[in-house]
Order: sequence, then C-alpha cells, then structure tokens
Amino acid sequence: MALLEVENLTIAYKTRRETAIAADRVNFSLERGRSVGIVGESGCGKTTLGMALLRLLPSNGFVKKGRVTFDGMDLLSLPDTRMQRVRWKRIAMIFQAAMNAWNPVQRIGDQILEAIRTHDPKITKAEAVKQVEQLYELVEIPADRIFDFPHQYSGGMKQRAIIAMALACSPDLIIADEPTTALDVIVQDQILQKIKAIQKEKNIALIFISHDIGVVAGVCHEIMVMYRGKIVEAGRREEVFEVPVHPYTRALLSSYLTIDGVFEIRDKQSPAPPCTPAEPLSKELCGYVHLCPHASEACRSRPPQWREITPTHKVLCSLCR
Amino acid sequence: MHFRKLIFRRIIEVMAIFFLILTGLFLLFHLSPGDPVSRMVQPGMSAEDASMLISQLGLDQPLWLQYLYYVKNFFTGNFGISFHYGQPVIHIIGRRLPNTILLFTTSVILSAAAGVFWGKLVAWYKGRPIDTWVTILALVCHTLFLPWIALLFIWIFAYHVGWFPLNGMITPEVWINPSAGFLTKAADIGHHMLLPLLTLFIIHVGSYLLIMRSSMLETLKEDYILTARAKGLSEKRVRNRHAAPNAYLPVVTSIGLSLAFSINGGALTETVFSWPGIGRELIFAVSNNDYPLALACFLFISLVVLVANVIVDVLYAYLDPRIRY
Amino acid sequence: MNFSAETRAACNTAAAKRSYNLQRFLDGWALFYENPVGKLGVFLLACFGVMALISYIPPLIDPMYHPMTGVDPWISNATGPSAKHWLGTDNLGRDLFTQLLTGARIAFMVGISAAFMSIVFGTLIGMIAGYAGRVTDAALMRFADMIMVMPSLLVVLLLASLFGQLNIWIIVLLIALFRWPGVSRVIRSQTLSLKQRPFIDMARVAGASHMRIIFRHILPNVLPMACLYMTFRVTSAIIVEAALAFLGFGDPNTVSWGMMLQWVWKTGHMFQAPYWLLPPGICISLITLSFYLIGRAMEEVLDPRLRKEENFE
Repeated sequence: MALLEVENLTIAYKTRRETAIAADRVNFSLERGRSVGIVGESGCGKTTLGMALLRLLPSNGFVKKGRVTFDGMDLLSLPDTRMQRVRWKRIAMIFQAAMNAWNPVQRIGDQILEAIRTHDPKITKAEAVKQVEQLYELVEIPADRIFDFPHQYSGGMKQRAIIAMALACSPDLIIADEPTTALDVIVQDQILQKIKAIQKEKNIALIFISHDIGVVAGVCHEIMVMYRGKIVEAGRREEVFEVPVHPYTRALLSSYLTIDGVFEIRDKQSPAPPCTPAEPLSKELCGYVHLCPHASEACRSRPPQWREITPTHKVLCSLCR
Repeated sequence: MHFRKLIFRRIIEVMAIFFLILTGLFLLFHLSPGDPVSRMVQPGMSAEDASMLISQLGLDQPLWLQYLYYVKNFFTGNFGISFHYGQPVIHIIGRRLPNTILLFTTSVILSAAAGVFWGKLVAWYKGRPIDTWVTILALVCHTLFLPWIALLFIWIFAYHVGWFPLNGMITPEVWINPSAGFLTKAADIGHHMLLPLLTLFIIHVGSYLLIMRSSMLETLKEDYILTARAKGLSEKRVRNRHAAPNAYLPVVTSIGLSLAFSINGGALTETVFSWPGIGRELIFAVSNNDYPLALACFLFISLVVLVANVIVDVLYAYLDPRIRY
Repeated sequence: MNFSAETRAACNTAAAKRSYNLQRFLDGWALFYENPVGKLGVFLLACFGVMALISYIPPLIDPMYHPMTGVDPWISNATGPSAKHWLGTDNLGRDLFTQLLTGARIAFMVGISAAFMSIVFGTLIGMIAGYAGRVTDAALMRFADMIMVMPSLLVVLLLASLFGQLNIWIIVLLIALFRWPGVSRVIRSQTLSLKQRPFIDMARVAGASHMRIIFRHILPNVLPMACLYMTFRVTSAIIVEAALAFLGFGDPNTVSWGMMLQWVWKTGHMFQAPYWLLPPGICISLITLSFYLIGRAMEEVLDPRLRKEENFE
C-alpha cells in the first residue's frame, strides 16, 4: 500500500454568495521516496489541495467528500489531537511565502526547537540545539545565525531555514508549496537542488506544488496538471513532457521556455489565457472548453472521460482517443 | 545601538512637542481678550504683593521678554499664586499630580490588560455567540457616557448599597488617628479608589478589547500562524505564543494614541468623584477663572500624556525585536 | 474574441458608467444592510431622528412645554412621571420629556456639524500634506502630532475660559479644530499611495494643475474613507459637547443632554430623581453607539479585507 492515497477528494469554499468547488474529485497516490509535482496556474486549487492534506484549510473551506489515507490512517477523520501529532512529525510543509512563514517576534532557532520539542518532549534542549546545528549544516547556514530573528535573515536564508525546520522531525512526507517562487533564479536553483538531494538522501516522499512547470520537471518523478480544480493530466515526468496530450498541458508547456532545450515542444500555440474566476465552474463539462482551440461539439455536451495513454499516463479529455 | 537611538529621538520629539504646547499656550493667553495682569494677579491682593508677583512673572515687560520669563518660570516651577487657594500654584500641583498619576496609570494598565486578554480570546472564537455578545458588550461600554455612568455607580453602589464612600480620596477620621499604619491608610485610599477605577475601567476596557480583537484577527491571517499550526502545535500554544505577541504591537500603538482620550475621562471621573487630582483641579480652576492654576494644570497634564507616550514607545520597542535588534 | 472590446466600449458610455456606480452603491448598501450591526445602528439613529423632528411639537401645544422657558405653574420641585409630564419635571417645573427631545436635535446639530468641519479640515490638510510632501508634510504632521497628544476636552475647556462666553457654534468650531489630526493622518497615507498610481502622473503630464489633481483625482478616491471617519467623529463630537455641558460650559440658551445631567448633578437630585438621571445618559450613550455601529458596518463595506470571506487558495 502506498504511503499516501488520495481518493475522490473534493474541497469547497463557502463564500457569501455560493459554495465554490476548489478541488474536484482528485485521485492520486504516492510511494515512499517518490515525488509528485502539481502544476497549474494560480487559483486552480493546488495550494488548497496541499492544505487539505494537513487539514489546514481556511475556516470557510471544507472537504466535501473523499478520503485521504496516510500510512494506514484516515487523515480526514483523525481526532484533532492525533492530527496535531501527524503534523510535522509525519507530514511537514515548506510554505509558499517563506518571507512571512516565520514569526517575526521569535528567534528562528527557537521556532525550530519548538517544532522538535513539541513532538519529542523528552529531548533535552542541548540535544535539540545540536540537531538544529546539524540541520543548518545540511542547508548551509552558519550555525552562529541560529538564534537570529527572522528580519536578520535574507530571503534565501529564510527559505533554507524553513527547509531545515521541515526536516527537523524527519517526516515521511513533505509538501512543498511554491518553495522558490519569491526568490531570484540563482537562489531558486540552489534551493531546488537542496530539496532534491535531501529528498533522495532521506528517502522522503515529496509533493511539490508550483505554477512553474520547468521547476517541477527538474524535481519530480511524476507530474499532475491541475486546471480549475481538476487534475486534467497525470503521468511520469518524461511522458507528460514528451507527449503532452491535454490541450491545457500543451499550452502550459509552450508558455515555458526551456533553457537547456531538453524537451521539445511539439504543438506550439499561444500561451494559455488565465481562467476567469467570474465564470462558474461547470460541474461536469471540461473546464477548458471555452479556451480550447480544439474544442468540439462533444466537449460542449459531454463530460470528459479519463483515458489511459500508457498505464502510468492518464488524461481527462474527450478529444483523446 | 539602534534601540537607544530610537528612544532618544522620541524623547527629543516629545520635548519639541511640549515646547510647542508651552509656546502655544502663551500665545493664546496673550491673544485672548482680557488683561493678562488681571488674570494672573488676584484683585484682592495687597499692592506690594501684587507688584512683586508682576515682576516675578515679568508681566510688566515687553511681550518677547515676558515669553522668556514664562519659559524660565516653567523650569523653576514658578507659576504664580492660585486665586482660590492663595498659595503658590506649584504646591497645589505637587499635591494633586500624584493622585492623578495613581488613578490614571492603574486604570490604563488594568483596562488594557483585561481588554487585551478578552480581545485575544474573543478573536479566537470569532463568529461564535461568545464573540458576538462580548463584542456588543464592548461596543456598549465604549460608547457609554462617562460622567453619567459615574453618577450611576455612585447612585447604585455608594448611595443605595453603601459599599463605597460617596466621593473623595480619604476618610479624614482614619488619617487623623495617629495609630493608623501604612496599610490602613492604603486600604482607605483603595476603598475610595475602587469606584472611580471601575468607571474608568468600564469605559476603556471596551475600546482596548475591540482593538485587540481586530489586531488579533489580522494576525491570525498571517502565514506564520499557518506555520505554527502545521508544526502540530496545540491551538492554545498557537494562540498564546504565536498570534498574541504579534497582535500586541498595534494595540500598544493605539494605547499611546488614546492616552489623551483617557486623560479626558480621568478629569471627568475625578470631578464627579471629587478625587483630588490635577484634572479636577483644572476644571475647577477654569470654572472659577483661576488662570494661574488652570494654565499650570494644563501644562502638567500635557506633560503626563507625553511622558506616558514615551513609556509606551519604549514598551513597543521592547516587544518588537525588529526595533530592538 | 472581440467580446471584451465590446464590453469596454459599452462601459464608456455615460449611462453604463452611471449604472455601474449605482450597482456598486447598491452592492455596498446590501452588504451594509446585511450586517446586523449596521441595521441596529440605522434603526437607533432613525429613532433619534424622529425624536429630533417631533421636538418642535410640544411647545406648540402649550408654552409650558418649552424646554428652557416653559414652567408648569403647578409644580415647583422635581416630580416623577405623570400623564401631563411623561418623564416628570425638573426642580423648576420644566418638562423633562421635551428637554430630552430637544437634546436629540442639539446632539445631531453639534455632532454632524462638528464632524463635518473636522473632516473638511482633516481631509484638506491630509491631502495637502500627502501631495506636497517634504517640508509641508513634515510641518503639518508635527502640528497634527501636537494636537493629537492634547486632551481635546480639556483644551476646549481652557480655550472656553480664555475666550469667555460660549455659544453652541463656538463649541462646534472648537471641537472641530481639535479633532482633525486623526483624519488627516489616514487621508495623508491614502494620498501618498494614490500619488504612486499612474493616473496621477498621467493627469500631470496632461497639464492638470495641482489644485485640479487634488480635487478631481485625489479627493474622489479618499472620500469614502473621509465619510467613514465622519461617523466616528460624530461620536466624539457629541461626547465632547455633552461633557462640556456637563461641566457647566454649555450654551446657556439651549438645552442639551449633557446640560440635563449637569442640572440633576448640581441640584443634588441624582439620588432622588432617577427619572431625571437616567434618560439623558441613556440617550447620549445610545446615539454615540448608533453612529459607532454605522461606522463599523461602513468599515466592513469599505475595507474588503474585513469581509467575512477568506481568500481563495
């Protein structure tokens, strides 16, 4: 059995006017030591998905249906106190906005120590500090900076410190939500290499959420493309890159410029226009139909079906035969 | 050090503001219709006493010299002689100021502490009945008319129930008794202070609560709260160790801004309860056209607000490491 | 798709713009009215409005009901409620109910005019400070700081004693003079952020004068905030006026709620005449509450961050 199994996960937000579906019937599973990338434009529901796994949705968000099984535990029905023990100890998270992920009035070291000592109350402070020092070595921050305040760190250091904290309790799964978006390209690359190396070394499962398909391609074994709350294409990295099937995936790929030219894009087309949140998410029909250059009458009348291209490569599109 | 420099700058700023107030008061005093001499020198005074006072205050000099005299007199504590008491103003101020500071600081500290504590809890339970009701209660407290609530308290708790004295700060019989120790005297003052304190508390606790509530709600939207939750911390720890310390900061700022407002309330409370403080003295002096006393009272009240502001700034800098380091 | 171009063209016609503005106003109003806080505030305020309006009626029925000069010839001390005097009379035999009604009128007058004036001062000074920047900004803001640390009630009291006899309009003016700094700080910071926006540069490039930029481009954008602050200023103006009157510095020719409280206090009736002590205090507290509630509800409409929905994602 896989480490993490997500079945039919549907997440919704209550707003003043309506209940909006943010993630619609998401299915995937993840083995120990493997990594999956979730790609999509902002607002497509990818962060929501990550938050739902840790049960950290905003107060108006809720899981409508579906199951999340992690190491045999049904995460969605776990009592709160047991869920608190799963968080960070088993599933850690690297946040989208590392700039603001640190409490500005507490020392960084204290915040990492807090994570360690919450999950291991027996550890002495000296031992815990020692662990932090090792982690800092791993992410290459000088140990004398441990007890600085967040405003004394640079952006890249904050991000690396977050990674150090994510590793502090040696979790089985790390959810990295746009961990490098706010950084410049050089630092971004360093951090990505770091994440990749650590993931491999410690045999951690990784869910990597990003809007940048190039970044995901560099880190993950598998890729899932998400559009308006639905996974529209999922497969191994090479498959999705070499034979992108869904028109949206192709649009995404063509808007991403490869530097090393490893992947050749076959179907050049104009970059994908952003989805308009004002339009209601049609429940059953393909969400991309209004922008899709290949949309046929069938797309407008029938909901799309999952097709298997290969046993590991699937796509949700009516055009594909 | 950054921190010291900042506090130093604030002190200079506050001194400049005080100097502006000092000068503004002088200008107003001389611009207003009426003769400055007759306002500072009581009509019934003997001729030589009067001329001595006039020369002391520089009232026979040209205006610019008068201003220098006025500034010098402020620093030497010479404010003239009160009409009503027939004593040097500085003596009266010296007796009244500690009473005001006692009531003012106690009420501000107590109401801020309670408001912050409840605001924190209420924000945490946002949208639940407890939030709705406490918020409404706080709004009502905040808008109650202070003199009225003071009268109401006297009427209920002092007059009908008889738990507290009607007014004043001490019971003379207790203090005349030579065997009365420090504790007895302190208890007597405390007994007199409870009702004025309750009045000020009710009025101020609401606004502090509302400020803390909205500050806390803002803080709870921050990313580091999400981090704290994701770390598997208990909800209580997230609230008290991560959200609250950050939510205090804006509250401290608004406490600083509301100090002048609190002094208004303090003066009204002192008046209704006959608490012998400087605010009551000011209102009393103004009603009796006792100008030397009124001007001095006003200057010292401004000084109290300014000093309290500096203390608040120090507190802020202490709470926020971004300023401290 | 030329659909968006069409929409844009349609938006440019004046009628569409008007209907868009109307729609925005209606949306805001719906949000405001949906809020129980706003609804309660409007309801309370309407009650006080009715009180102020009908305050003209009793003196017409019988001169005995005039709030200041009307004295019931049969009564020479404070009496409790009766059919003739619904809330009783004061110690001179004047009807408390008409005094209470007239008090509502005075409270509205003082509150709204003082708030309006302080908003005008505050907005003007804030816009000038924010727009001019540099020395003007620094000087105006230090001046604002100075006024802000002065306890407004006590300053007005001192000024009142220096300048002698008070009438209600001088009180209003004095309140306004000492209540603008808070407003001007907010307006200044809004102006500062507006100044960064491209449309101000465009106006400048197009040759608009400073006056025109301030009044045509900045003012409309800061106006909602100014309106919001006005409701809060009404509250504080009413409280300051009532406190002044309570301390005996009111306009001797009008009756206000603060003055009623002063009379009950100074004549020593506070322990004997709850029918006299309670109503004015309740009225002052409730009218300030109603403006405050409206202000809070408006805040929620104007500041989308305070709305009850969280962000997506």
